[in-house]
Amino acid sequence: MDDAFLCLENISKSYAGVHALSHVDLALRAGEVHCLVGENGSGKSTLIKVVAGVVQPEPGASIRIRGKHFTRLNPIESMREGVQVIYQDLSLFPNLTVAENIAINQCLEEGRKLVRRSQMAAIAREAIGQVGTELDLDARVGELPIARQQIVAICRSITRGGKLIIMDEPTSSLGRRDIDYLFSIIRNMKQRGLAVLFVGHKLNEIFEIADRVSVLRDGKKVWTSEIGALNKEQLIELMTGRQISASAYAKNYSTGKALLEVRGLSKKGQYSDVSFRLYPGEILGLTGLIGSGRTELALSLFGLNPPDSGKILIDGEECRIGSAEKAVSLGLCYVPENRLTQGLFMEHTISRNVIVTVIHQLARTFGLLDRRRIKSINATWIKELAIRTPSAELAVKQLSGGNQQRVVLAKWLERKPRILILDGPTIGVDVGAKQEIHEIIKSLAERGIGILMISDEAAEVAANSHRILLMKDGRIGEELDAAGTTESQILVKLGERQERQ
Amino acid sequence: MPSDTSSRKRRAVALSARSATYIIAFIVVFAVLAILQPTRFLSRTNIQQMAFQLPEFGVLALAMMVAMLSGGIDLSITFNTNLSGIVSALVLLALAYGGSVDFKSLLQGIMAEGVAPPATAIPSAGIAMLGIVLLTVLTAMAVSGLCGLLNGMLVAKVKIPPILATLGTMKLYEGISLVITRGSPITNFPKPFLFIGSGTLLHIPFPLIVFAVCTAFVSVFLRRTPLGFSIYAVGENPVAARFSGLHNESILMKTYLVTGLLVGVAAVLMITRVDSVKVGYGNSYLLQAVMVVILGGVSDRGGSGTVLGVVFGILILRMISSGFNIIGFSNDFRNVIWGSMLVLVTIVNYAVPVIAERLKARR
Amino acid sequence: MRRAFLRSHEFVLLLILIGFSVLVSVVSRAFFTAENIFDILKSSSIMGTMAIGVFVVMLSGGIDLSFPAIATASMYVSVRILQRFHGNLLLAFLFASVLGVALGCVNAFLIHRFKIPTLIVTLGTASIFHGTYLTLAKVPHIYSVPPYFFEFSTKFIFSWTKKGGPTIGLSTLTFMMLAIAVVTWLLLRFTMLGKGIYAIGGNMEAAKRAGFNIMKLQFFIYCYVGLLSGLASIQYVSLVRHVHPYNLMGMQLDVIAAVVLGGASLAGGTGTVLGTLLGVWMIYLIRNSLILMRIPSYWDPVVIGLIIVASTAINAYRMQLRKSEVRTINA
Repeated sequence: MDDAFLCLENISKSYAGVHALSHVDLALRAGEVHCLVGENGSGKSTLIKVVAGVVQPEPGASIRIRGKHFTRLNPIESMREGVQVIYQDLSLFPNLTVAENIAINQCLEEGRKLVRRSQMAAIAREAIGQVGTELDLDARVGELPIARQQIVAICRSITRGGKLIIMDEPTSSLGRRDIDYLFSIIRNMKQRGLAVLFVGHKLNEIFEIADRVSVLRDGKKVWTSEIGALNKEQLIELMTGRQISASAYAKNYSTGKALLEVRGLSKKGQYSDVSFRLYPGEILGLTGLIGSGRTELALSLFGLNPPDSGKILIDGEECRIGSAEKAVSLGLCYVPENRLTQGLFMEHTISRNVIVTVIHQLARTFGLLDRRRIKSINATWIKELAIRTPSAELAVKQLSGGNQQRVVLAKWLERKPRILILDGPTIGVDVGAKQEIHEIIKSLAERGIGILMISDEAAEVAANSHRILLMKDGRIGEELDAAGTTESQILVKLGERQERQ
Repeated sequence: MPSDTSSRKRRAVALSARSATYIIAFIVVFAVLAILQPTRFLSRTNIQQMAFQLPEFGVLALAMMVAMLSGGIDLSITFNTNLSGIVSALVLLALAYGGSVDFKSLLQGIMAEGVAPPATAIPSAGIAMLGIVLLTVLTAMAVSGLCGLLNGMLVAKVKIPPILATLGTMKLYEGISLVITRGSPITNFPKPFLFIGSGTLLHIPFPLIVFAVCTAFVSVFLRRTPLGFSIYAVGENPVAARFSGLHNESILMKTYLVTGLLVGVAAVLMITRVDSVKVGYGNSYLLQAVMVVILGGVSDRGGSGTVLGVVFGILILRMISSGFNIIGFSNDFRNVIWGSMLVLVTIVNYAVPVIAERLKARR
Repeated sequence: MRRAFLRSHEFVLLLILIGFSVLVSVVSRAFFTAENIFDILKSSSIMGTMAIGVFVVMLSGGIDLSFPAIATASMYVSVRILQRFHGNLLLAFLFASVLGVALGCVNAFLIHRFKIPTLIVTLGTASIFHGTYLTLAKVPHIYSVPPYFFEFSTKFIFSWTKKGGPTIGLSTLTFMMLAIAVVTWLLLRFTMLGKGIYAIGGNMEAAKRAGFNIMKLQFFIYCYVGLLSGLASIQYVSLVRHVHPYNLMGMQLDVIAAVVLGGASLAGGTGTVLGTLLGVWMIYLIRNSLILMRIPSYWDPVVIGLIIVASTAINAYRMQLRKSEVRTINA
């Protein structure tokens, strides 16, 4: 493609015999938003690193940027050609101001020794103007909400003469409003002739923002086209190589006595007047925009975030839950959103991760741990949850995302919970493994456990719940029956009554 | 599980690989010293001296290990040793000579200039003495335990970073010790008390027995009890620990308490070996303790490490120290070597995993 | 901008400083005299100089426990050389600085090349430097110091003489420290180097990605604290007129306490030069008040220990307030 801004041909990369990338071609035009889609391990991040010059492809590769030809790049060359990567962690300096964060790269590049606040402010103002947004130059970046930090990162990427902006999962911590704003900025950049390579996995967003899409699977590129040439099911099929069907969940649950009842729960600044009931065997989906207070609510139920007022009743009896230990003793367990930092001890073995919740129950004579019981616990869960691992003594960090999530489930299931709160149970899990985890969740519900499933993905909630609660700005907006609700209906309802800040 | 035997085998191999390194290092150091100075290094007096001095340091190292496993560090252990030694020494003197000496004047005497009980003082004996010795030991552990608890509170409840918290308490304990003693030593303890640090049982130095008991206790504690397990968990990932229902605050407090209790044992061993206690004794042990713990595989962020590794580190270090004694290195040159070793050990600790990963990636 | 200052750590510290001064002057008449104040300023300038260096290190997220050893070695070498050859104070500062920078380079090399934690490395190099000095120096103390050393500390930048009484004024030592403080402040505020130091302390990974020359920055930082330690050591000799191997050695804790008191955090990225100075003056103020209240000097460590504990506790408490509960959990 001659008018392409970036043209990659025959990019291959192997690590220790494993092909991370095999003969991948990719082309990007200026003024285009191109989405790169793929499961974990498909090679997306490796491809980005090749473009950014952080990783060198194997010989035979051809990288053409604005007509200039390279067989490989290094970071400096890549940046000089206008390639800017915004990593998921944003790489900002929390202790420096917005102006400093935006301007610092340019100052470095220009080899400046001295800086003046007015200079940095000028650079920052120009970038902000180009992006078309507003920022307080003197605010400390660490004190800004994530969405604003992202905007700062985008402004920064423009200052160095960024012509191709690569965004790695930019929407993972953004709420609907912020996503809209981000997309408007991306469209703005598009109009100014910038090329945007958007790596994502939230299919809705991809369909919303992309002009063209490329799908990677197992290191090979399996598809490139205009976005309009596909629908979602086809895209999923391309990504996974399988046909995934999402059918509505129809199993029954008992509506006799509520397992968990929440009345008028409030916490200043987080949520207010929340009331709902959860029945045994029910999967109650809770979804809403980020910032709507869902995780805060969940943490309140789990004892880590005591509410200001309201009642929590378990089995009809009022409880005060002041600590995680108390929650667990009442049969309420919480599978956290961020399993890497909140749910798992990455360096420790599977065994140590699984037994941590019941560690005090495993003490036998003289307070010593019962090794035989530990072994049997591990064996049970590895089998039941189909955790793919040669042994329980493997360090958890060596497992895939799906298997890691199973370990987290195992550790809580060992506690024999009656109420299980799942916060984003399939985040960072491949589409294929997602399905399997949904099956696990459903089987748990069939055993009589009451499940509160919190999720960002309306599709997940629509397909796997009995009832759905929509949460907005800290309040339960609406309760829906999952049977008659589609994903788009949910999204529309969440978009309703949106207050502009 | 069919793969259980293979995993057991794999673990055994990994463990023995580690142990092999330790054993090899131990043999190498031993051999070098034995070859360089066979008559003096292998002499009975020398081995005996090592056997008597090693335990006090060993227990301190174990104390430091527990603290570092939790992701923290305890810089106050040496002055904690001094303080608990001083207080328990006072208690001992008060009780042992209580009958024949006016305690008030004794205390004043201490405050004025170092103290030894006057020649005319007659210590109690027999069962009463045994009881007094026991009480003294308990006092030492009580004081050191309280100091540890203070550390624990500052780290767990007030949430001060352990380096800063124990830096502060280190100064505090030094200060209190200074106020009590003005820097003078307390000496001349009753013989039965000194048995703990200088006596032998069945030809084995008693302190060595104490050290072995402590080692066994710490090992079982860390590997086989819920609290020990929790310490590793909190050190590895305090956020996940909290989310798993563990009580980080209480775990951390107990961690520093355990460290404190061990420090008390070390204190008793120290003062009964040299028959005196003074502010500043054992200061050089701090750096060595950190080194030994790192040698034993505990990273500075905690969450992993074995008692076996630490014990080997202790053995190796004491042999080297004894070697220094024999060769006649000055105190200052020894410090140079300790410092260099600490740096070297840390480098190896950090460089080895990186090299190992690179080798793995290449394969 | 003004509002930000009013809410800042430095302002709070200033208030406490003033409040404490008022308290002490109530108890002891001798406190609020020009003589006493300028004396405090003078004697605190050594710690002040070192604290500024340590502050720069802590800003970058590191910690340096070897600076007293560097200072001790530097002053010894410098004085020894000048005992044999003719020289002047400028040369003294020069020699001490050179050695300080050299030793700082050693630290920088170890820290950068092997990526080992700064606490442990400098714990080790402290022993190495100090031990080497004591081993190589046949006679580690020096009592006959060339006279121009202590002449320096007796001079004033401006002064006046009370009627029939002593001369009071701003000592050259104080002025030197203030000059260093200003230079450091300018550096941190107006150069890319300074921004780089803040950047490393704020997010090391991002600093690497942004293209900062991490090696250059690390070398600068540890050489700078070495340099300042060297300078401070000559200030010290100038004041006490002898070289003794152990006098400076316990200072690590006090200096770090002062820096932390001044608002720097262990993690790096925050703090100001002003805060560091206030922290140093706070510590000296308290020491001075103890003296005026006739409390014996062996109470010093207890008081300093309490100060460290109290100040770190307050700092920790403030950090807790800043983070909301949920954000702490999700950290």
